[in-house]
Amino acid sequence: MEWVQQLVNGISLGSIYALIALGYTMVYGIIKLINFAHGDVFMIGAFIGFYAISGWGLGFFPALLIAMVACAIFGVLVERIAYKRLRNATRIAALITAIGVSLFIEYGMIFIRGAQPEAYPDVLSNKTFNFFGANISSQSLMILSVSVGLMLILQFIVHKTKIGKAMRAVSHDAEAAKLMGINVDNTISATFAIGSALAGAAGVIFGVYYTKIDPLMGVIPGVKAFVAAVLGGIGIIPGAMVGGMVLGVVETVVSAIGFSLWRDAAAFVILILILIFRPSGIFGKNTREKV
Amino acid sequence: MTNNLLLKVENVGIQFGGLKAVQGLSLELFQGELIGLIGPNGAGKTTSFNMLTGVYKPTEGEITFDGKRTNNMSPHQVTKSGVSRTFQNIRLFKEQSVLDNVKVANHSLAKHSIFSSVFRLPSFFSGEAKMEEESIKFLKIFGLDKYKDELAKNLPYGMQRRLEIARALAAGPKLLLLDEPAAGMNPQETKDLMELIALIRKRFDLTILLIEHDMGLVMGICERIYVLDHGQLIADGIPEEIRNNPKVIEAYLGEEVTE
Amino acid sequence: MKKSKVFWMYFVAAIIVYAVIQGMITGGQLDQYYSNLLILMSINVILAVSLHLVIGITGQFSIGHAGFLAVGAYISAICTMKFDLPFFAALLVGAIVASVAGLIVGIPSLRLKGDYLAIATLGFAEIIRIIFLNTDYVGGAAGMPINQLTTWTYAFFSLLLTVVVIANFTKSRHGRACVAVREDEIAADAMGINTTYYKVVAFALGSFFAGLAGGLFSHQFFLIQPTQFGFLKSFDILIYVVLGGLGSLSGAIIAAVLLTMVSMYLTDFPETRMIIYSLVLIIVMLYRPSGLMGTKEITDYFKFGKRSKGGNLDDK
Repeated sequence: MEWVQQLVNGISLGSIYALIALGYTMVYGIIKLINFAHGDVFMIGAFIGFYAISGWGLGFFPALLIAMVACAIFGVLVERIAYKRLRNATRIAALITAIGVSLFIEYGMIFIRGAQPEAYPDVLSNKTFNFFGANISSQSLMILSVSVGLMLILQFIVHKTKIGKAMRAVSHDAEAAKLMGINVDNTISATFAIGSALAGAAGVIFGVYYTKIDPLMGVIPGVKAFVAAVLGGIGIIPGAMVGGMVLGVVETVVSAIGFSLWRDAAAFVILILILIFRPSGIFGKNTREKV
Repeated sequence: MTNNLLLKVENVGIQFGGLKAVQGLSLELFQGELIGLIGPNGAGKTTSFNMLTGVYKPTEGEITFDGKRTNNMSPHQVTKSGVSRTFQNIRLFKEQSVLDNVKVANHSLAKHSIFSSVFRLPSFFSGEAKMEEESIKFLKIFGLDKYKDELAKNLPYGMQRRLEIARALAAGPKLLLLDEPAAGMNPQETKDLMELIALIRKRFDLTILLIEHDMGLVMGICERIYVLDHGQLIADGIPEEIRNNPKVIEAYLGEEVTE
Repeated sequence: MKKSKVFWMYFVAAIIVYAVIQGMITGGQLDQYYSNLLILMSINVILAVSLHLVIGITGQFSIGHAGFLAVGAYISAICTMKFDLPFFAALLVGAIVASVAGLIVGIPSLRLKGDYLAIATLGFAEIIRIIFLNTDYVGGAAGMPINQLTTWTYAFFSLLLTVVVIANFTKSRHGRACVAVREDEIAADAMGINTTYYKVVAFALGSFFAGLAGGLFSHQFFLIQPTQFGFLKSFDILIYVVLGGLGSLSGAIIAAVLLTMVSMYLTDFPETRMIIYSLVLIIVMLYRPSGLMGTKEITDYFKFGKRSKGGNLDDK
């Protein structure tokens, strides 16, 4: 029953992608910006979790919480300092700025602490269950349940709270939302805060699961999470979750059948196929340019 | 005036998702006519233009221009077959000079290849000279030649509207589609523009289809008028008939008034 | 003819610049360090100018230019190292294969717009890189050792060809069509411009010269590895075009020259270099999104301003 095991691995990886993808999708939905620096927020989260655990001796959940709060603040700072001025700039200017911010965070981190990797401490006891003949670690179950829990909380925030309603209103039509008395700036900041907190959580989970972190760790998962967001239909929250899971499973399968070196290419091939054949993603609707 | 049928539109319609933006549109334009297409906001006038120029593909019906079916042609193919247009919300090449705007539309006038351009072969120089001469000719007609080196975005609004028409004309159309050419102009500018349209029509032996929101203006110069409302043709005829058509009055003024 | 007179004036100026530098290299006034710097500058200017055609002129936002650089680098290296072709032929083959790669990438992805196109080109560039990474024939991750064949002469004449071709292309009916696509694709289409054709042409031509730069690049550094052609390389090239001013050929050239010098001085401090680069990107976008030159050319400021490297060939 090896495939069950692979499926669980794929879903665990996919849930990390999904957590990052949520931030991409929410930010894109609200200000139409591909926030390239989002993968680096994920990296920052992993490091904060690392210092919280190995420096202060905290457990997994307190570290997770601290990383999420710190990343939320960090995300809002980035938005306020770099992106806020770009509201009326061209999409290309915004994209280039995001690339700049991303490089700045990565190399700023290397400048501060060097490029060497860190080994994540063991904070979750790891037992292995035998489940229908497949070996499933308690860690992957834990990761999966934390991710799903966070996604449920997010769904609750977006659909049931006032700020969630404001977010949906702004993403639908920022001008109209402003006229209705919604504070657009704060809503955008809140979106960055929530998205970054999720990326921070993903960073800690990634650290625990894969045990190695370094300042450039955010680049590839960041791009793949973006692929996941596009796959599900960018701007659509459930799309990001499904896209992340699908991508995680596909990558695991590609590795499992012996093409592990091609794993990264798989994500990009999916990206290109989706962009060319269904640019609006699995859940998206087609829009056309007005003439 | 010969009675050649230039454009035939039969039962054309388009659907966006579930919404039928235009349906059952039938038009006939004869060589040399100046026809108006009017209707209240959102009636589907610009959508109809977009179908005639290949920007949208109609989901039903047939469009035949000059004996050729243009339903599935892309916009540049439609243009090459002889239909050219302006846009309701001016779409000039803002960062290009006034002259270059017209030269772009003159693109197919000269045939020098990429190779000959890159290595500056004689055909490049003769081709570019020909384009320059022809483009200046169009600018002169519209009184734009003195602005030829300005960037298009720096022209005053009325001049931008004129440049759009000059550019459309440079593409060498048999049929010119003008989408609210007088929008945003003052009465004097509008009057001048209408005279200019009459002039180019004669000089280039053009057929013109004109969208206008302002009924009075269309009545003055168009020979026949089609009226669209809610995506459907509700009337057609000479201006006098249209003026007195109760359906048209209703569409423009709302139902209560007609009672 | 006045136009061709100006052309020859620039041409002669360019040849003089070449000859003086070549003389100084032969005579030993310019040591290895400086001749390497000049070659690297030429390579970067070629990259900048080729991407300028795609982004600045045609408005197609490609951030995967390193992919075509990689194709040119590897293919030309295979030609010289495995098939013993002369360097000149290898450069040409590398450039042609890169432009074919440009067609393969461009035809499907140029239907996309703006940031979707950007992401697709980034994805394609990564796929190209991963293909080389997994090809044992070219050494996989370990890389491929290559003889150093690039000289100032090769670098200079490649650069001259690139600038002449792209400047002349821009100032012709074809170049105007490309600018029209950048300015308003729908209007360009409505004026009879086959927009897809011109996007693909610009992309293939840009890829051709990126491939040429690739050939010079691989034969300059003894060893090429797939890691040299990642996102960062693409962003390096992007920054030249953005900093110079989207739409300005001379801007792209100046930015490439300046940044090559900056990064040469900071070779020993790669993090500092990247921090400076990223800050430049952010600050330029926030405070001067039109870059150093906007869409203007240096010749617009000084009507007969001298340009060391060929430049705008027939200024009116």
